[in-house]
Amino acid sequence: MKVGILSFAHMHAQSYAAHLRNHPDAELHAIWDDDPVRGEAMAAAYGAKYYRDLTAFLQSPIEAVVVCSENARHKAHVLACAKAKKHVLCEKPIATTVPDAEEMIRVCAAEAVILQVAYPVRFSPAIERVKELVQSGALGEILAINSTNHGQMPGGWFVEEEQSGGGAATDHIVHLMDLVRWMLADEVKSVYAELDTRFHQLAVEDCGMVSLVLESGVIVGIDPSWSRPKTFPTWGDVTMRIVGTQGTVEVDVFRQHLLHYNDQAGKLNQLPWAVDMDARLIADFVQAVKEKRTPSISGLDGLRTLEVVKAAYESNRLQQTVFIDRALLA
Amino acid sequence: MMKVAVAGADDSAKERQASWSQIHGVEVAGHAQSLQELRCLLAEEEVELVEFAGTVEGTWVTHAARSGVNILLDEHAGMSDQQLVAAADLCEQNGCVMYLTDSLRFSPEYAQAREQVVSGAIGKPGVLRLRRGTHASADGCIFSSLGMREFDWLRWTFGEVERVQANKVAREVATGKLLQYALIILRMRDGAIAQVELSQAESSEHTFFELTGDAGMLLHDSRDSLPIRWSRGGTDRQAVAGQMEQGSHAGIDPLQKQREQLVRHLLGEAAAGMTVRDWLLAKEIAQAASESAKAGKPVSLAKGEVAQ
Repeated sequence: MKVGILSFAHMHAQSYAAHLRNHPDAELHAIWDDDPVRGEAMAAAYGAKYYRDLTAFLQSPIEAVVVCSENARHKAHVLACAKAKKHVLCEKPIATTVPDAEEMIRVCAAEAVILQVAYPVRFSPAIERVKELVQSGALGEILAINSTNHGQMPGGWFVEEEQSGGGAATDHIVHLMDLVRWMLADEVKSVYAELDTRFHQLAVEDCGMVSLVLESGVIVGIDPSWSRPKTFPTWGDVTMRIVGTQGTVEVDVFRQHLLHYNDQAGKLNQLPWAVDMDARLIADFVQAVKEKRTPSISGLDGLRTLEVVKAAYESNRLQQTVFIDRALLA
Repeated sequence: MMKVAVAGADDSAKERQASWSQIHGVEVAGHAQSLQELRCLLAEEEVELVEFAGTVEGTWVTHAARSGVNILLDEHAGMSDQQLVAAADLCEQNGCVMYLTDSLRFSPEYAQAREQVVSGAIGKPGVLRLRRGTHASADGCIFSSLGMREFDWLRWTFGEVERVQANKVAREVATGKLLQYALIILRMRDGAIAQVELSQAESSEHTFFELTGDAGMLLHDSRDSLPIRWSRGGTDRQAVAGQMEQGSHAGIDPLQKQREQLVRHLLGEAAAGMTVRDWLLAKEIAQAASESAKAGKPVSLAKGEVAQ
């Protein structure tokens, strides 16, 4: 299966490219990037053909596209792919506005192409096991989840609101929100958030704390902050504490690592050794395209998580609890 | 020599007496086991401070306050909030102060963290996460029963709280006890954002904090702070866990640290420990959290008073 990558603006594109190259049934055939230097370099690195022209890229013999452009361009790029009948794996967040996400879902459905959103954490074996535990009832009735998706400040277009849609809240709430919805099969009823810019000189928020109540009454905390110091031994974390009437389970997705006390670099590093969740995400998407099946992570999943992000901004602005008004898709 | 007395019939009284006797410059004037004995002791000796051991009758505390003697009391000591406030007011009228134990201010990890924050180790505070976990309990409101120490420590370290938002869930579990869990967001007046997680769904008591700022991060998890780990085949796991209490090998007794600082404070050489006023301000945060959880909306704190 020939696959293209549409833009390397997002750093995850390199990981996806490597896994597409290594996949036995996939071939990273084409790369489009509006930055020709970056595009040429990536094409050379991964043995693909570089296209500067988007129409030509979409006319190439690719069946599917991984969209890794800036968040604000997801809509235009996903619509272009859909109209060219290419299946899409779209980097998160699905879009920067709820109407954009709705339109992307509608157009992909109308064009009969797969729209999958890239939430790789679902493919962590530890997370899969925790989901089994939760759904088996081993923890009793679930009462609460407290979670973190921390990171270091990524810089670049991530901190330019017109391209990213927002800062740390846009970048990180969605991963945890997706895991919560996936594990509990529940939706968010209300959102309260305190967001701020306290770590860096930025025009977007770099930290915050979010508190949610789900329709079932389960309460959820999310810390999406870009609060990891420069000396932190890795990029960030994904952790969850899931509290039930019969126990609490804690999962630290990147806990399986070696600690490298590196005198040469003057730094402490975490060296992960568990299975690469990006590889499993790519394999899942390739399989979905091959089988023409419903994607395991849908556009609707992307939309619902984006709605929570937008409610968090609204709550922070109003300093009040905000009730989610979920979009009804035709 | 500063004269100190211990009062109360609690089993810990003798131990408390012994602890005071180890402090340089302190003379233990005696141990009153009844209100009559307390009256005699305070009449006969120039006692500067009375430490009450465990639960006490309000009349004992009132008598000490009227006598103008400083008081060290276990948090609540079986008294109602109103009795405590009344006794503190009485102390103030008689030129003495009531101090409370059961504060994180003297726990070595929290004291160290506060010292580091104040000295600028994390720079400008950003996001602060704290957790206290314990077993299901028959006690009342989780915000007061489990959160007070964290609220006081946050105030002491980062200043006053501007706004509080809380969510809480509670279920009666198979043992008949009430399992409560709460997440509280505190917006500090200086802009820092704190989350306090209170859980009664844990198999053992533990604490955690992560304090981040624009120049660094301080991290503590009591479960990662045990200097000794042991395992014995065939031994009940819970029994072993019970012997591995947090702090048991740190060589620091928080209450003794508080006594030592109290002596220095009364000599004018150090700041006070937790006073009833501090306790009341922490209590206001707990009340605001409770109010927020009930109303489903944030509650603003203004000038030490709860105001929606």
